[in-house]
Amino acid sequence: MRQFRDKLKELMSTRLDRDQALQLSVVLFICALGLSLAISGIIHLIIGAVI
Amino acid sequence: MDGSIKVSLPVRVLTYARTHRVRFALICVALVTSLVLICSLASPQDADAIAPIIIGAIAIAGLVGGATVGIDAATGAISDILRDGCNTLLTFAVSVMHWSSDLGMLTSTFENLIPGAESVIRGIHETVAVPVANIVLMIFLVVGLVKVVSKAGTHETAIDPLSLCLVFVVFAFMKAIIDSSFDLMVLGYNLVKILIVGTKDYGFSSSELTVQGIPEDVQGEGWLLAALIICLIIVLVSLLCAGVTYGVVLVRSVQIYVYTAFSSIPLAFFVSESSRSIATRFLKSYVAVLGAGAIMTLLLVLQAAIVGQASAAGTAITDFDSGVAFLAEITLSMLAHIAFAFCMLKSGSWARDFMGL
Repeated sequence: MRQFRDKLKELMSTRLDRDQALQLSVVLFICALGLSLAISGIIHLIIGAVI
Repeated sequence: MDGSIKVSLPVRVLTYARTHRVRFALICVALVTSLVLICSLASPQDADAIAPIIIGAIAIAGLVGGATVGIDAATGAISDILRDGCNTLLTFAVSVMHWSSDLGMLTSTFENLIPGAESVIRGIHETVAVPVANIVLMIFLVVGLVKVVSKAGTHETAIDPLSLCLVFVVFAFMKAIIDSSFDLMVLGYNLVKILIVGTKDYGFSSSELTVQGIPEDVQGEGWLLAALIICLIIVLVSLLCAGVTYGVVLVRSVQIYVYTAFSSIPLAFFVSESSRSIATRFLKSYVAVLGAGAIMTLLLVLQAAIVGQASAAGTAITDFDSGVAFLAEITLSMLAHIAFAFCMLKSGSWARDFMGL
């Protein structure tokens, strides 16, 4: 866990050049689509529980 | 001389006619009708010429014999007609008031708010509004990325990955909200409906609108005519008030559907700080429209309570003065209805005041 946190800190403190940023953007875009689906599911679960 | 006075036949007939008017009139009619029948049987070709004689005889008989009785009967019948008319109009006005205070449209489910329209609204939302909102969101995503990259300036390795991640996380949240905006709006509607149903259940538990009719022993034609005119005005006013109430409630229902149909587009503007005011203003307006329903419910409950209490303690008609008091009371209750109809019209702006719009 500590190793993962250190790695994440290191990654976040790393400055990216434009090519790296473009590659990361593509990955993040796909992750964001998945995350939005997950959030939609959670919202529907909450709505179903409330109604 | 035996002391008795000789009375001639015409004088006897006139005396009899004066004392027994109805009977005399019937005898006259029977005599004339018999005569006419005999004449027409004797010469059928002259039967048409006899018709005016029959009509004239009946008219004279009516004038001589039945005038007083006829006027009395007609007066009684007119009183009955006027009273029945008043009571019918009052009953109709009460049923109109019951209909206007019916909260069916305010407490119905989202699907039954306007029957048949929900599927259309959902179709438009899914096929038009959500794709447009996603396009808007994509534009904002590109703008966000450009902003992050432009912060790097001329340095080659200066793009902050945390800022980049943040842009996509916000994008993910907003996309989820846009995709499920229809259900979120329905959720808001259902939450406000709990408030509306609570207000309705509390208000209508103790109030019942009843209006007493005009009793049978009220006979004054002049008073009844005045009451009929007032009842007619009451019916017209109650129809107008019911129309205003129904119109305002219907407009709210349509407004809710329109807001829900295109809700995803203004919500897409939430992602950017510069255009966030559009989304917040839209959400405030939507909450105001929903809150207007609670205000309308409260007004209808208050109206039923005030008018119901007045009708429960209504004036009993025993004489002319109490009759006038009864008419004044129902006229004043109509003024209350007009005031509440005006409040219904203003309920939307009151709800916007609550939301600070």
